[in-house]
Amino acid sequence: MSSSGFSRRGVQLGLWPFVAVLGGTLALGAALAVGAWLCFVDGAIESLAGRESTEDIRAALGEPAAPVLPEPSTYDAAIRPILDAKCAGCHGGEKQKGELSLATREAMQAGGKHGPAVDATMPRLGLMLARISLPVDDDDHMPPGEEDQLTAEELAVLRHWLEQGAPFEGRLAGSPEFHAAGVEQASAGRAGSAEAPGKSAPAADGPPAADASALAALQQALVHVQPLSEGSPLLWIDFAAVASTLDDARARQLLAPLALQVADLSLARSPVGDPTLELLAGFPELRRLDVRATRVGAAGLTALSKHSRLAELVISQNPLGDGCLDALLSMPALARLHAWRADLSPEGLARLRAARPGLLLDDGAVPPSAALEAETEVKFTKPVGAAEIVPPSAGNGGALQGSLAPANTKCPVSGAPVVAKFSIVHEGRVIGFCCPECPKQFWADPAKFLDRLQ
Amino acid sequence: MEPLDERRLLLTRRRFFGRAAGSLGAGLGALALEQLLGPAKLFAAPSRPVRPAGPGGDFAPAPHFAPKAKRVIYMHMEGGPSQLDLWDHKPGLRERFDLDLPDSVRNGQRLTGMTSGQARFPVAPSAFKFTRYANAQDGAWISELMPHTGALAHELCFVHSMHTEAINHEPAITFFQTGNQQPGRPSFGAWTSYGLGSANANLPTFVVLITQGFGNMQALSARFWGSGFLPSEHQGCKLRSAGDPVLYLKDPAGVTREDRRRMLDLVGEFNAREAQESLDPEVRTRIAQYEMAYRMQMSVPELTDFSDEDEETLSLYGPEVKKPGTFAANCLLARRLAERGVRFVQLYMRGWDQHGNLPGEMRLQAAAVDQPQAALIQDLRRRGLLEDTLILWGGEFGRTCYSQGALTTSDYGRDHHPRCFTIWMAGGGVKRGISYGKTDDFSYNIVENPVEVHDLHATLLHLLGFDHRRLVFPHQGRDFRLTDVSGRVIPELVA
Repeated sequence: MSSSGFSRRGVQLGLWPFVAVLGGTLALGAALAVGAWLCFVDGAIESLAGRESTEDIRAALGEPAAPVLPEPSTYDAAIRPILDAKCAGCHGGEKQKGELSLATREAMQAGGKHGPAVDATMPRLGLMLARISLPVDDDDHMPPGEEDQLTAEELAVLRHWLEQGAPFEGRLAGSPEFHAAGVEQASAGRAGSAEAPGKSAPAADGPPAADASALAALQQALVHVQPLSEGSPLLWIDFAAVASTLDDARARQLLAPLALQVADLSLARSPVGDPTLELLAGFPELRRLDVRATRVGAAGLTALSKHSRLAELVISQNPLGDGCLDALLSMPALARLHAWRADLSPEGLARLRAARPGLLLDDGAVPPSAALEAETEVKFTKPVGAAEIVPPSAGNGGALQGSLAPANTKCPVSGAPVVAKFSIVHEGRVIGFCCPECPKQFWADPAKFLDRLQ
Repeated sequence: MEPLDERRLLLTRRRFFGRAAGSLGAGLGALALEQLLGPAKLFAAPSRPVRPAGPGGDFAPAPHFAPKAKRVIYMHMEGGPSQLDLWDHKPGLRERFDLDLPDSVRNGQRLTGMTSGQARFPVAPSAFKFTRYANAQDGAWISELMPHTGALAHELCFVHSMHTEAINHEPAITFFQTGNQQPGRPSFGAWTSYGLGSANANLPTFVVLITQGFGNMQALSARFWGSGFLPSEHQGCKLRSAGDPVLYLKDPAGVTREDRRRMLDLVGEFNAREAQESLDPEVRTRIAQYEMAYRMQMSVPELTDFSDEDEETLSLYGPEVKKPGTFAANCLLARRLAERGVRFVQLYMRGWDQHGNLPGEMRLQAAAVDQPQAALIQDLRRRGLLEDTLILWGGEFGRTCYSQGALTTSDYGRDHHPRCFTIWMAGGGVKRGISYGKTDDFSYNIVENPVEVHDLHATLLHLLGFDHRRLVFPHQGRDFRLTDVSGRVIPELVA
């Protein structure tokens, strides 16, 4: 069904009563004029009917075309040359710094000592994307600051490829417009390839589609299940709606048939424990696991300790203690850990940080941003001739602490009862007024009214 | 079809008005529940599968690509907080106190009726001290009014170069919420609900919480969280701050949960029959929403009961947290909604419209939001929720650098200013600890990297996994989208 079909019917239905009323009350000529107008509307819609998408309309309105990928937009033509030129010197056949080679697809997926370079399932967890996106002066930025850098255009294309899940076969979908803001592209008019964007993410050898009856069972149980993205067989599952009534047997029963598809799982705030984690050890695609405030223990984490893809783990609000450190330390792909109120000792946290310098570890005690410099006073001056001006904040300073309710019950200007929303702060005190006009009189000479506050 | 049925289905005048009355809730007399369930739409467009289907068929929508954020908490500061007194530090103005705003800066730009009659436009420097907090760049200057938020500068992504088309509250809020100044389009939260679906079948997908502020407050219309032409299940559900969060959610005395179940089963049967006959998708929506309301009878009381929060967490949000309806209580509620899978939480803080009394009033406004909003960010972070929760803070426009009304040494006011203002974001895939865009020395014009509302919407949708040009709904003959025919994703804001 084309959109034009809806539109024409919609217009005619909507205007019919209008025409009928006009026909009944006005001269025939007016009704005829309306009829002619209807024909005109019909014609205008006809001219849009040939355009199927907002994309075409955008083009018709003369909006700038998106920058495009090099042609042909395949891995071999668009991506490989960039890697060869800018990366292969250190991560290629001869040198393999950080035990990482980018020479082959297998080598990229296997990764180096810090983890896989690319991740087709959750692209942001791939290290290449993370490293090329860092500021140039960051120690972890790639290529290193002293080396030949990626051009803005190369960066845009490479990021686009990585965010699509680093597909090695077929043409790249969409256009790198998003990554290439500010990159001038000479060849206008081509808005990316015609293939549906996003479809390229799961490779041909990816996991099979999930079993429909297993998905239906989850839905029946009011468990949230959603594909990671359009066309992907991989799943995000969240038990939030049924957390309080879940148990290990039920969780295992619902999850077991989806072992090959679960990539992102939240069991947070449910009374599940180690038996469920033991099941998850056999889920090869699991990237992110949230077991905050559950009943998991060190044994369950130990079961997961050899998981090759688990990159993000939330164990906050489980009294695990240092007994779980060995399991955490041996998780090869772990990149982010939330361990607030997990009873890890300061020594344990230090051990974790020392052994895994790249790990983003949040124990709930993140120091506040430092105050680099603070103004101590506000001073107003007039540049020429005028006298020094007393700053308004002189008698006004000091952040307000405590209650936001006014301390006085009567307006200091009028004596009428205070209306709480007409309040101001003066010298750290909340002063209420009866109306929005009285504060203006108050500001004109605060001293005059202050003694009326007692 | 049976001829008798066919005759019965002909649209008669009586039937038309009968339905209209039903859709206005007059028949049921339960207006609050009606608001929750959404008025049935007479000519709701039939939905076609523009949403991508999930692996098992059409059961769950999916984003276009793997998202960086799964949910949104949008703190809308109704009234237009002054960027000059909070985030956009202009120390140079202190040397121009009470001097006229140069014509070369204003450049004949339009003014509101509230100041267009003023004889002169005296520069009013901010009365507040600023502190430079460390972030990923060379630090962020933040006003003394926001000390708790300032201490989180390394988490925040400031955009100093927002601008909007509207100069008055109503169209400006409508523009920010729906991508259009005219009423009638779906709100951002409704689009999110439409695109992502619910992540908790026991709660609405889109929840609205409102806090009353100080001073001048503008009306907040329910259409700011309406679903426009989208199916009505996507409209925001406002939770009340006093009494029951949702009116008539409790069963009346003498009605047991079993009675309620039996009643709903019977009504559901009637409705299913009606849906089959009329093929009106809104009837299906209604059946689903009755079931949702039944489940909310259990889930909402648990949601709003803070007794399972420990003292340390409560104190993080500040002294007002136990008072329902305060910004502190609503921030804590927002965290509880986020961890239960609610996709879009909209917090409204009213009262940022300081045409006068600005120094005195803003202290109250800022004190009401500063500690709670900082607590929300910290609390989400330590629970592992910040990385996929997108937080947005901002008003519908900014305020002028010249004083509205008399400028004295202890008081000033500021008029609406749509040409530049500051918003900030945090969490869900946003670059941490940066500032983007610059304004001139008067915070009057943008000099670097302007961001229009459509651009912001496109970027937010990108973070949620959508190509903003492809999240569309067919209506009145064309595919509508949140960004209309504009919008550009700003890559510099995305981590």
